[in-house]
Amino acid sequence: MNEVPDFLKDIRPGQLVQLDVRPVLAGGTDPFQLIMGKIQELGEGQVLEIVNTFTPAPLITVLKRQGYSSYTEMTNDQLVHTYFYKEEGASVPVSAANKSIRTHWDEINDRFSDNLVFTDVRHLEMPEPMIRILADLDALPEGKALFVYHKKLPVFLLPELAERKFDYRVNEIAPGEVHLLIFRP
Amino acid sequence: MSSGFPKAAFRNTPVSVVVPFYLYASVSFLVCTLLLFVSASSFTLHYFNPAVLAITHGMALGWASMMILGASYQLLPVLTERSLWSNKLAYGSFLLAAVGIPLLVYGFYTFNMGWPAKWGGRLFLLSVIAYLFNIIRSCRTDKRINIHALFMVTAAAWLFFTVFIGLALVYNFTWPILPGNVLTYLPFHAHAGLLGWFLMLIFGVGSRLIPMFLISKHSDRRRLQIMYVLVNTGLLYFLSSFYLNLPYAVLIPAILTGITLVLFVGYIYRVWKTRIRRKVDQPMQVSLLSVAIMLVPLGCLLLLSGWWISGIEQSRVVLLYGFIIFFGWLTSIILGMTFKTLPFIIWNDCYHDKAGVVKTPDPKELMSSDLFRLMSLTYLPGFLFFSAGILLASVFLLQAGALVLVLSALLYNLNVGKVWLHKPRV
Repeated sequence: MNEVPDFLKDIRPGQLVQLDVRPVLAGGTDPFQLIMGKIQELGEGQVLEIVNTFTPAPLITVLKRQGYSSYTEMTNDQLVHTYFYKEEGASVPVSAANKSIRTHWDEINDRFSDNLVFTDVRHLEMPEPMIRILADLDALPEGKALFVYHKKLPVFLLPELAERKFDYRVNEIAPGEVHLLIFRP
Repeated sequence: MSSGFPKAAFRNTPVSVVVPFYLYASVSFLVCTLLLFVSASSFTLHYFNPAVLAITHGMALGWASMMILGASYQLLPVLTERSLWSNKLAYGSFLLAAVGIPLLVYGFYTFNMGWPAKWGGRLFLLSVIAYLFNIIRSCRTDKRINIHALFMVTAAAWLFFTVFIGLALVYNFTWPILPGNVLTYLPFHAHAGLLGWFLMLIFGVGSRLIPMFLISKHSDRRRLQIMYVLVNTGLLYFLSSFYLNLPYAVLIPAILTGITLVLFVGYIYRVWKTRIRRKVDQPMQVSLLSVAIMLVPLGCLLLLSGWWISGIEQSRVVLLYGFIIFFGWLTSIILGMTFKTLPFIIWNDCYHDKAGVVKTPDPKELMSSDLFRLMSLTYLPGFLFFSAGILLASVFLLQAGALVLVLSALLYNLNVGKVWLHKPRV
């Protein structure tokens, strides 16, 4: 077992945000979005504690890339507690390319912020994501944009978008978590 | 289906693992068409002759199998939504096969079953073991058996069996280990490869990819399951007939295979009818031609299962059967599918991080559609001339057909090279 890290040793009450994901999982929903939301809401010096029945190894990897340290402990009741904390000054360097991706994304996201139609194709098997997205685009009202939750960049969809005169933006949140904004330019 | 936390996101197999297979296969195709040209007259003899054996193995292993191995490493993660178990092992299987295949083909061409043929066979067998192991490990943790992955794994097991028997046949020339006449083993070796490996793989992968490329949501799991049972039953019946002296050893498997082929063609027809993409591009047209060609060898097989042909005519029908399978069915599907996959693989490597940020070229623009059109226009007459040459035992037609096929293979290689050497424009 690793040594308890400093950020947990002298933690004050109020600095710990707890999130028990067991009920979410039991309801059949993927808690990834929820966790990412909570992480972004963390204030200065706050720590997020995830309670679950197994070690969320992929989540640890994803957050590590974003500059979060983690610590995992198993308690007697067979529960796994994982703590996430952003070390000061540990922000991941944002490359120029990344920055430009963010700007591109934000600009369109802001433009359509009140006019988004959401679709989630993450649970669908190939080739259904593409069929669903194309059907949604056929039904997309003028002036609205389609926001897609996808597992990966849908390479085969892109030529179809061009053919239908749609433009798109990509926001790769993490491996296995890609957001797309599809709109008429 | 959610696993809770982000399912260990699957990664695409690296370009450095997949592309060598494509390049190797392309060059093998060109070499085989050249061999076809220089040994055209061998196609007027009995099918068991050095040049025919060399070309068959060049096509089966160097062209079709190498292409399929590479494509499988790329596709399996997409089908099962998990990363390939080992990229290093995949690359290892490439190196083993890349060294083994030329040795084996050289052994056949010179009809010397000494060390080159033996080492060629051994290395290729090791390559197949590496492939089989890798894909079993990659599918292993799937709770629900994905029918497409099941086809792929079973096909790989049949490939192992085929190569194992093949190696035993090579050894048999030095140390007779197999009882009876070698020629009686050939149909088993050949059909374990053709039906067990190629046909099963094309069923499994085609039933997924063709709907994807035509954009159709048609899916019929039940039909695929029936096809799986029928094709395996036919093959097992054929193999066991040898030991158990079963009746209609050729006719029953031919009928079972025929039913599966009709079921598959019907499947693709439904996909075609329900497709969203109305305009079908050239590579897809050539791939669909392959689905139609599939039915032709069946005619040959039915002809062979009867008593009405014998002697030299029978040998010609066998030659035609093999030629249609390797240069018709398998070649046309690969010619088309190469350009439905390779440009996307390279595009993903060049532009993945730039998609939606800057203007990126369409993946289709990575290939040349002019070269593709010329390739298709030369391929078809080349194939038909050579087939006619076999039937009429005409060396002139054989040579003319082969020459046009060489041209077609050259155009194919140029186009593959163009895609491969594409440099990011932005």
